[in-house]
Amino acid sequence: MSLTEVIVASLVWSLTAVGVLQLWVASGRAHAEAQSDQQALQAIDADLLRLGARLQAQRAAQQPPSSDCGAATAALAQALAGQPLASLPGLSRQLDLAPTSLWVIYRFSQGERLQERRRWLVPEALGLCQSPAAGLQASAPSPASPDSP
Amino acid sequence: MPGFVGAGFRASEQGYLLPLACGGSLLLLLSCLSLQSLIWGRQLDGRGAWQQRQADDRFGAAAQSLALALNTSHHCLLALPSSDWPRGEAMPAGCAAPIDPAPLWLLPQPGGDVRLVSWTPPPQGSTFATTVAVGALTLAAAPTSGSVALQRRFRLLLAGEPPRVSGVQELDR
Repeated sequence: MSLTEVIVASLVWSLTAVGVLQLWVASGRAHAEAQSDQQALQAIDADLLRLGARLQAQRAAQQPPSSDCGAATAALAQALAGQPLASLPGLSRQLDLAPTSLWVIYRFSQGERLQERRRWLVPEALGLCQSPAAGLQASAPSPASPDSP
Repeated sequence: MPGFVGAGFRASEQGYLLPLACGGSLLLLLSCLSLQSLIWGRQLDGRGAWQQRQADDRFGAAAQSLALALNTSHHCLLALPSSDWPRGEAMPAGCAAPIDPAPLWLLPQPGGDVRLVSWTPPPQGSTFATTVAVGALTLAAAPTSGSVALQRRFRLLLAGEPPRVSGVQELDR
């Protein structure tokens, strides 16, 4: 065993160690990100499930449905605003209220990465209200353009 | 054979440290890379799950916008299967005025358009006044180059007289 061999072997080991360490750090970060992604998705799904149960209860309680879709939308928004969202760093929920529909927007940010989910709720299509002039509305909203927030 | 003896001497003089270092490094790098690829796979799965949920949201919004149109501006098409809808503006049976179903075939959504594949109303004899009847709705993502078109099926709950859509339910995929 010569001194040259010892030096070359040490160099190989140190370079490998540095490379592996960097890969480990990147893997750890990616693993944490993947886990947070999953948790955020589960938290949003749980929130939407609670929302679905609330809609069902509201529909059952309002028979016949109210004729004021604006009020039904506002009531839905108010109920949703009071529904707690799982506390997860970077996860937020925003409600965007239109006259007769509601956007529920979930945002999840991790560092520079931002992911979004947008759920559109139309109380009339969900049976929570009935506009009185069904079928006769000349100025009904176009199905092709849900007002994007 | 002095040359042979010399070469043998040099080979035995070389130690085990360098091959060990090279072999060990290679093993360490390979195991680390395999772990990395496993984690990348998980990360891709996670992003795929997000994209799938975002597609679900788009389909849900499209189904509701269609339901809303069938309750309001295009109400007279509610009782007709989409295969019987007119192409272009016309006056199908049950409509009091000419109507163009074109806006119902393509439903623009934030993040990607959705198109109507088919709408099948409940059978004519259904008694809407006392019970809820169910119509079947199929939507698909508008095709983009090189992608497989996603499809989702929904049930539209119809009630009342005249019948109106009173609920939108996605069927299990």
